[in-house]
Formats: sequence, structure tokens, C-alpha cells
Amino acid sequence: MSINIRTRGSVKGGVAEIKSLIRHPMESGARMDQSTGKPFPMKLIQTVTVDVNGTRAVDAQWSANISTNPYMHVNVAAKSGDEITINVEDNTGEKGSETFKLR
Amino acid sequence: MKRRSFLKATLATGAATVAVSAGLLTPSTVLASWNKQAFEAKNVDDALKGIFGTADAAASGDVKLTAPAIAENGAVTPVTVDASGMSGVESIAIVASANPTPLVCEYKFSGPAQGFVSTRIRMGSTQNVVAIVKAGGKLYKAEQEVRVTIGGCGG
Amino acid sequence: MKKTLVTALALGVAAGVGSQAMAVDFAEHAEKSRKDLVEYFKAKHPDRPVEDYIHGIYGYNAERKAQWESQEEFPPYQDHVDAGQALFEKDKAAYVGCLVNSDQGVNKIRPSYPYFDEKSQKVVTLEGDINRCREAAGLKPFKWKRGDIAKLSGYLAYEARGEKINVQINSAGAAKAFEAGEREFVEPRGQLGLACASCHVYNASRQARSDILSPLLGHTTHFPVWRGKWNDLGTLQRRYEGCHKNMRAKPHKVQGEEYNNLEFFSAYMSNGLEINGPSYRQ
Repeated sequence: MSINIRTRGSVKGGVAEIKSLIRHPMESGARMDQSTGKPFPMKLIQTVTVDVNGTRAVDAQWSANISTNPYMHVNVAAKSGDEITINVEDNTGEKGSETFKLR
Repeated sequence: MKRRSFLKATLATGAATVAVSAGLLTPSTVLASWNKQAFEAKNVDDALKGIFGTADAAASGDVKLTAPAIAENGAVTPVTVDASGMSGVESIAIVASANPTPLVCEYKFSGPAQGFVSTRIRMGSTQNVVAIVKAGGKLYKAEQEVRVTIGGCGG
Repeated sequence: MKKTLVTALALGVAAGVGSQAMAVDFAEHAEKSRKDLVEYFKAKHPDRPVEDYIHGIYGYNAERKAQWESQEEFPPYQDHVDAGQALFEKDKAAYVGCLVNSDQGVNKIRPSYPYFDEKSQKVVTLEGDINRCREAAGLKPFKWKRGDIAKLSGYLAYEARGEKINVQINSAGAAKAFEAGEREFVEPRGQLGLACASCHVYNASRQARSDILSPLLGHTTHFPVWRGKWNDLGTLQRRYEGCHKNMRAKPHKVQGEEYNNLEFFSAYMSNGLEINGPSYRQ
């Protein structure tokens, strides 16, 4: 199973707005499950990268202070036809990757 | 579990994944670059020292922090940090000063990236959200109080 | 028997032995109530166009609106709408030809409800008919407030976006149902002695602690609603029940007569407004 990433990219005057919504619980490992009395296990996206035509643009690290189903919007200098790749990985080793071309 | 991660490793690229398949790294450290120390820090200063080596940041009007004055839903508070007007922006960090572990995220920028990020964060209570920008080797910041309140509808 | 609005209308006219004028008479009281409500809000907020009321409280506060728009950008209900589409496709044979106006297109289903069924002399809601059609086809009915019924209803609302609410009152029975719903709305209930109108008409746009009270006008257009608090999609009557509990009033049975009449009333009061469900709300 890989992490699902929805993306949206729009180019305005040489700058591309890269928006994404990632389906992920972002569980800190501290939240208690009332029914079992034990905490929900930690499941947390920790690293996120954004590449433009294979060149690294954004290198991010996240904590459980990022909301469930994280939303991210970054801006990069890019033009129509450029390829954007977003990669995420969580602490359990689960990954997600999404590549799309800017229109 | 290990077997599954080995199979994924064969499809993915990178030295880290090879190390995972060989069982050399446990899941919590497989992301060797995750700044555990900074993310587990319990106060703002330690969090910033963990990332930048210092907590010394100058308040700056060039760091444009946008966050609601009253969060409609503390679990999904939209926060935007726009430092695109500054030159030499290397990274942006967001800190929620009263959360148990205040560091929210760190974004490093290179190549074509602009110094800008917008995201949604979890706020446990009314507190200051702080945006720290590293530009030209120095730290700059902006902060704003975001109120997390109790609704009147009772439920 | 395939039920369409045309059939219901015909039955209503036949029962009333009336002409077009008789049909208008049945809705006279309801139309007056609705027009009064529109005029009331126009006077209260002269700068807010009536069409904007489908966005509820977000027309009252720019900061809340910005937070809402950031949610609607990548709507959290998108997966549920997709799941609803799958649910519809799966049992299409049960729904098409059974749900009112389903033969005219998926987008025509949501705007056909709620309607007053002359034969049973009761209000029929979309959720009610979904389960009626399921049972008629030998399928297990859904639970009423959340889960599959909300997803399917969400899909049907999504497809109907842009269609106008058009609840019809064409008989004495329908007029009675409207009036019963209206009474439910304006009469005080429960431990706090609050009427729905207390908050949603007289104090709409004001705040209860940090919650902004939503206006009755436009109330039903965006259901089923993705409520941030639930982190889930829920039906209109799920909220009726929840709100009654919050206000310390004994809730009625979901999909029972009282809530169906209330839905009939609330939907009529939003006649002419565009459907924009599902939508994100606090």
C-alpha cells in the first residue's frame, strides 16, 4: 500500500503553485485509544520532497503537529510542461510518490 | 513487516532503502535525516536550537505570516509563511509555542523553490504561532496569536 | 409504481378537484413564510445577495470564509463522493426507475426531494427513498445518519450542484406537513426553551461563544455536510438530532414524521437557491 497524494499545479507568470493533499492519519503515538487504553501507534509522515524536472526544490520534515490528511502548498519557478515529483515517507517506511506535468 | 519493506526497496531507489532491506535500520530511524532531537524538544528555544543551532531570531516585517486570529477548528488551522520577498531564503520553520512539542515542520529550499509554504497545523490551545526564516545565514521571525476556542453549540 | 412529480401533482389536483388556482392556494401560507424570511434577511444584511446564503455562516465573516475556502480547495469529502458514486453504480438497477426523476439523469434526483407523497400523505426524503428503493430491490437498507447513506446522498448532491431547490406544495396534506414543520421550527423546545428560530433566524450571524449561528435561509442546500467536528459526512437529520441534543431537547426519531416535516419546511424555505452539497462546515 502506498500513501495517496492528490496534486494540483498551476503556473502563473513563471511561478508554479504546487498544492497537494496527502491521505495520512499523522498519528503522533501519544493519542490514547479509549477503547483499549493503549495509545494509537505512531504513524507519521516525516520527510517530504518536491523535485522539478529531477532537481530537488523542497526538502521538508514534518511532525504530528501537521494536521491529519496533510495539506502542503509550495511555490517553484517553473513553466508549463515541467515535471513535478512529490515524495513522502512515514516512520513505518511507507512511502508515497506522485509525478505530474504542469499544464 | 521487514519482508514487505524489502519488496518495496527493490522497486524504489536510494541507499537508505537497501539498508532497510538488510535490516540495518529500524523504522524509526530509517529516515536518518529526521531531526528527532528538534522535533522532540519541549520548548521553542530547544526546538530552534535543534534545527538552526541557535534560537536567536530578529523580528522582521519581511516574514509574512498568515494565520487566523480565531481558528475555526484547532485541528486544521491554515498557516502560510511567505518570505518570497526576501533574498537568499534557505529554510522556513513553523513553531506552535504551546504545543507539547512545539516544532511543527521545517522546509529547506533549493534550486527553483521560493521561500514560501502554506499548510494546516494542529493547535492544542490558544497560543502564538511563530514562523522562522533562515536567509543569508541569519534567522528572522514573525509571530501571531491564534485563538482556539470553545464553540457555543454545546456539542 | 414509478413515482414522479408529475404523478404526484396529478393526484393532488385530482384530489383537490381544482384548477391551477387551487394548487397555488395550497402553497400560499408557505410562500408567505418564505418571502417573509427572505425579506427579513435582506433587511438584516442588505449587502448580502440572497444567492450567497447557500454558503451559510461564511458570508458573515471573511476570516472564517478564508479558512473554509482553504478546506474546499482539496475537499475532505471528495473520497466520500467517489465512494458514493461507486455505491450508486453498484445497485443502479435498484435506484434508476425508483428514485424520483432518476430516469431524467443523476442530477435530477437530489432536487426532487423532499416531496409530499399524496398516497401515503407523508413527506418523503431522499434518504428515505434510497432505503425504500433498496428494500424494494431486496437489498439491505443503510443506516440513517452516516456512512453509506451519507456517501450516496453526497454523490447525488454533488451531481446536482447548480440545480435549484424546488419543493412543491400542491395539496392540503402537503400544506399541513409544511405547517407542522414550521411549528417544530418556531416553537420552544427542551430544557433551554429554545426554538430553532431563536438561533437560526433571530440571532443568525451572531455568535454563541465562538460559533457563528447559521441562517435558516440556505440551510439545506449544502447537505449532506462534511462537518469538521465529526471529521465525517453526515445527513441533515443527523444534524437535527445532534443539535437537539446540544440544546438539551429530546430529539425526534431520525427519518420519523417530525424530522421529515421539519426537513420539508426547511427545504421549502430555501426554494430557488442552488444546491451546493456536499460542503465543508465547521
